[in-house]
Amino acid sequence: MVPTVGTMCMHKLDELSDECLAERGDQESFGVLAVRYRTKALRVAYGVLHNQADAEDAVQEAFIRVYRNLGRFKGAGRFSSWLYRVVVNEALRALAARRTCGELELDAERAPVGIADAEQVLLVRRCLACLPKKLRVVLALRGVEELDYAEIAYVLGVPVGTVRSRLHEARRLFAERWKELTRDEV
Amino acid sequence: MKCKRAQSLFSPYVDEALPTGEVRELEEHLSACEACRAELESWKAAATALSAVLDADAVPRASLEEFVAACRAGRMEHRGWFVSVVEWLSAPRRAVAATVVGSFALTLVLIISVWCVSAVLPMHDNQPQLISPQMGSMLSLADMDQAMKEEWQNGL
Repeated sequence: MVPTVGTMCMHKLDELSDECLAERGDQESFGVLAVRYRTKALRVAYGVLHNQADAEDAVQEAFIRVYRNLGRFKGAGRFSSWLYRVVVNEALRALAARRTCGELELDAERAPVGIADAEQVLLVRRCLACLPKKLRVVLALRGVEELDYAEIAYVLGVPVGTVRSRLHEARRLFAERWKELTRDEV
Repeated sequence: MKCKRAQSLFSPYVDEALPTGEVRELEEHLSACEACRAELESWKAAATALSAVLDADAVPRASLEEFVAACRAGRMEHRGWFVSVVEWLSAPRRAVAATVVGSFALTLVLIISVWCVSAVLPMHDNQPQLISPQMGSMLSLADMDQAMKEEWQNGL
């Protein structure tokens, strides 16, 4: 529950579409949008950055940017696509800044929290860390359930065919690396 | 269908984005080819593991209240002063209040400016006056000009 909003008002806002909320552009509407998309946006940012703290920073920056421009959203396209576009841009900016500073710090070796098969999680992180940036982005976006190929294409500003081929390549490399690492572990 | 072709369809097959005809062809191939079946299984296992990691790792640490508050604060920080002023003035009552206060402030500034000018530069006549170093008295610019001409002529 967002602190600044009364429960009754929230119930009404909950029924509105993302686009309606974005056009309203007020604080309460932003709160509802944050409830709906914060975790999904974090999944996307984490898929690109593979660092929890950086991903959270990128998501926050993206939401601030979106919040500032909510009033300008005139329903041209889906709100979620617009949001993910901003999130990806922020994540890539953070990635570029980190590389510029020479601080490529992935969570690859950080111990997972609250997961039974910790070793498997570390393996997945290593696999992700091996993928090129472009492929990680497309894999992260596809990881968010609602995004189909056309939406991913809009978010990345590339043709649908490019999304299809990058996704295939990302999965192929990921599965290849996954097989290598799991074989090594055995 | 050959293995290479079959494996090129794995990605859309996993996404259920493959046309029905190709799905049928691929599944026929998979039922006959153990290597491709194993390859597809490894794809699925990797995808499941990836999804599990994203679910486990991409969990916000700050509460939603903190997140919204931070966004709100960030939004205020990022706004330029001009935007802030325009937004503040957009309410009608604020606009009237700002106009009254602004007019009062402007009048006050004008009064103080006039007072300062009249106090610092007392004017006794229309011509600006200077103090002659030789004579130690107040001279007008015309007098200074005349004195300089005389000095120049005497010098010649």
